[in-house]
Amino acid sequence: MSDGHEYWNGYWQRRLSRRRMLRGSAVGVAGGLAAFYAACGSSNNNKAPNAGTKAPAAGGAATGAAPARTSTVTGGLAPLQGTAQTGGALALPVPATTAIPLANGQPGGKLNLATGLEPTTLDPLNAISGGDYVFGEAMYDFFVAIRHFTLDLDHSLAQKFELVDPTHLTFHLRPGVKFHDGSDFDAANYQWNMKRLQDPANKGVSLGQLSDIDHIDTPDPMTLNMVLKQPNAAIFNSLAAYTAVPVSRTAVEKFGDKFKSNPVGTGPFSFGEWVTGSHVTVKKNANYWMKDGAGKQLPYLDQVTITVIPDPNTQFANIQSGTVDYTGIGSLNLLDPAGKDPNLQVVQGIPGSAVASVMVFNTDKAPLNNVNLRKAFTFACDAGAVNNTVYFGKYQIAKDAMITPGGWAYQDTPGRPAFDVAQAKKFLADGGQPNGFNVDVVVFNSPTINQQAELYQSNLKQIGINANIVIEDVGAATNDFFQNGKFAVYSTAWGGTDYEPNVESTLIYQKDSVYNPMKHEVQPGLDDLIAKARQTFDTNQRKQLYSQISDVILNQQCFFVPMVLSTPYAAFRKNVGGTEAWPDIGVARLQFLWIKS
Amino acid sequence: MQTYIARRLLQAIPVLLLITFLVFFLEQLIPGDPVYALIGSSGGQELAPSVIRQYRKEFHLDDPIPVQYAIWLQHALHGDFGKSIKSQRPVTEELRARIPVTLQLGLAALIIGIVVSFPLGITAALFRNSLLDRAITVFSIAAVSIPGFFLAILLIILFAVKLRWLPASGFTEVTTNPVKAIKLLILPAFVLSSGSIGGLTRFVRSSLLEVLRADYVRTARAKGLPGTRVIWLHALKNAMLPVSTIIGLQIGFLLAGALIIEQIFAIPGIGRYVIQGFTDKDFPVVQGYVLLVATCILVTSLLTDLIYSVLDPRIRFR
Repeated sequence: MSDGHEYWNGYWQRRLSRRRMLRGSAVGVAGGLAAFYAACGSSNNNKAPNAGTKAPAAGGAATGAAPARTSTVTGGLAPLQGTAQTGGALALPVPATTAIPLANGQPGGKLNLATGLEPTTLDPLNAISGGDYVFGEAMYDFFVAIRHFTLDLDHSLAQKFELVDPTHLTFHLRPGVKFHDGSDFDAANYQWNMKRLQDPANKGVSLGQLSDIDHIDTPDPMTLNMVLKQPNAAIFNSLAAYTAVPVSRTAVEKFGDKFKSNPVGTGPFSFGEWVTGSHVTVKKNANYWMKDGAGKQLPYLDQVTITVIPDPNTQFANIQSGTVDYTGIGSLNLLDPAGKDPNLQVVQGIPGSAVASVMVFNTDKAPLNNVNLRKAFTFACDAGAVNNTVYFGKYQIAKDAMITPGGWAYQDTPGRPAFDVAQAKKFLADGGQPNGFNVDVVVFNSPTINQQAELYQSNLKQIGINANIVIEDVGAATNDFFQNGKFAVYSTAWGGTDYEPNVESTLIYQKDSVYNPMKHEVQPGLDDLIAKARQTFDTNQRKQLYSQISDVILNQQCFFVPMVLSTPYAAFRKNVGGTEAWPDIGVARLQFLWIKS
Repeated sequence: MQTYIARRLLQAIPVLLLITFLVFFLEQLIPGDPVYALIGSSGGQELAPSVIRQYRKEFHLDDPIPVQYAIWLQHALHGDFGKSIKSQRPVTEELRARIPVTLQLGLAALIIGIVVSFPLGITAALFRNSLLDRAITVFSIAAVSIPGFFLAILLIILFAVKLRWLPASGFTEVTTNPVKAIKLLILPAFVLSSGSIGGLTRFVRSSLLEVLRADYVRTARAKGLPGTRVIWLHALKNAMLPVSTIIGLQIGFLLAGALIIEQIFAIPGIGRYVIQGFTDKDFPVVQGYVLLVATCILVTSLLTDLIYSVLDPRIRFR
């Protein structure tokens, strides 16, 4: 298979991590609840497929049950390799996916993209807002880009890597890559970038994620030796973050603090202008290193204008009237008219990439400090009814922990709480409260969150649990539950699932996690298990370890239970080509889009 | 006059201090932590504890609230509103970039408000209790009653999506592209002025009716002056005195309304900026906005009083 075909097939399988969901939210969602969208963000804006939807709706069915490919990993100690050309040797079960047609676009044209959040900075180092990625990714390339369904190394600035041993990685860089200002991307540049990322004074968003990197050596201009302080199999995910993309040293030294509004990367588009609060314009990088499958120079477009339109209805009015070519679909009411509009095409993102409904318990807080009662609570809640009533049956019921369905680590967790009144009653009796109990359920103030809470409330009533819904402002609910320990259960939403389970493990499950309301181990030994999973390079072993972690979280402790998973959607004007290869909508991979003449 | 102006300006100082003080403390009552908001928006897991500590230190978030206020005030007195916690960009710069945008919108809304409401109010007064008067009354009440966000959506659907006469959203400076700027301003400015139109129409009507009943108007008519001359030179000029006060007060309403309108019409003004500031609990942004708007309203109030003396020579300031 040619380089290009390889890329396009792999492109379908690209991850949609929390960050990508953030980007999706940023494109599709009004900026009002931006902070919460990342932390416990609402995915309620995502829509059901309709007549206009082009992408398959069954992506979520892809699981570890698919045939396994041969693995060259031996106990995590043998050298591992990954290349863009061969598909890499980090073999994992491959989900059934639909191949993406080869893009063969026409060069030229300008595209208008509407997004919901203003950028806070165009310097990836401090890109703290979910809206920043939409603007920045057009101008930068990832150091590594991983196909998270397969863990193959995708096209990126690191062309090939070797795991020498669990603490030594060697990266071979793509030759001939230049920044927009003409300076070279080479090993010395990346070494400087890593120092910049790791300098605490720079307050880099990736600082914590990259803390396991001890140092980088540069034996030659195209080779990097990365030395880790301890084994960390999730390091690839950290290196693949937008906040860790390489930037031009020359430009940083030239502009200093003003680099955030004068970005220089290696990406498909170079910076044009940033009009505060209004838009960012990027222009074609004629010297971009990437070509499409037919050998045509990418990107196709001459210019992209990314306009900030906070209100999803206004975004939609703009795409209907033709002033915008592409936008996320950010409101439940818009998917149907989008599908019926003959001038629009609707593209579905990866199913299950965000969480529309999740139950989070404070396992120390009475009356739910009894695991049987937590299970009774969860078994009584009908996620299917919520899906059907609030989301028109277009979302899917969660079956695992916070791992994206179809991702390499995803697997159904047998026995996890699911709607079953008989089981709920059994656990109620086992918990010593056969007649039920009273409990306050905190929710944040959102129409869909409130609707689903009311449905759960009626479910719980059937087994004698009187759930008193406490509606709070999003900041208050988050603080009161996760920081102040004021409530026993939080019925909320979450910004995204992840292909790399270490993200949720460190963010939620560990004792010092930001979103662990107990601030102690969820279960003795869990933190060691999480550390072991992070330090294991053999992906099959990792998968088994994360299965154990999911079992602890969902079954043994019933601590953090996703109920309904959602799916993002975007709308394009009919004259926009290349949208077939757009499964992870919201990600500004603009180099593949083109305007049909 | 100068003494009066100086006294009013001096009086404004404690008012501004009180407003910023109240807003600062009320802000603290809003649950949530700005750094927590940062963690959320960054995806949480990436922010290292050392970075969080730096944020807390840099923005004095661990200091007592009065100390935080004193630090903010000290900088504000030097024209420095601090940096946005989220974007790390100077609030003063951000506000400076966005003030002309909101001014352009507000001015357009004010012009539309006056241009529409004055003829309607005068017509309603002159044809009191007629069908026309009742129709104008219904229009005025509807203009005041319909929420701006709802009217905005309706107008966008009608004029941008269905008829395609006007763009749905966006902003351009008048100096850059006047035609485009005016097209982009029509819908938001009209929606923003809708409340003013309703209120001003009613006020012009009642003010004019009152004056039309005055003795000097009757005298003018008895002298045989033409009706138009009586209305324009005698009645309307006097009727405008209370109306000018109301117009001055509209500035505050327009600035408040801009918060919603800028959000819906994607106008990069100070209203949209502060909404994001509220969401992120970004108190330097909110404080900067409050001080700016409070100053605007106080200055407008002073100007209104001064205009009074121009319109009515009987008024003298001491």
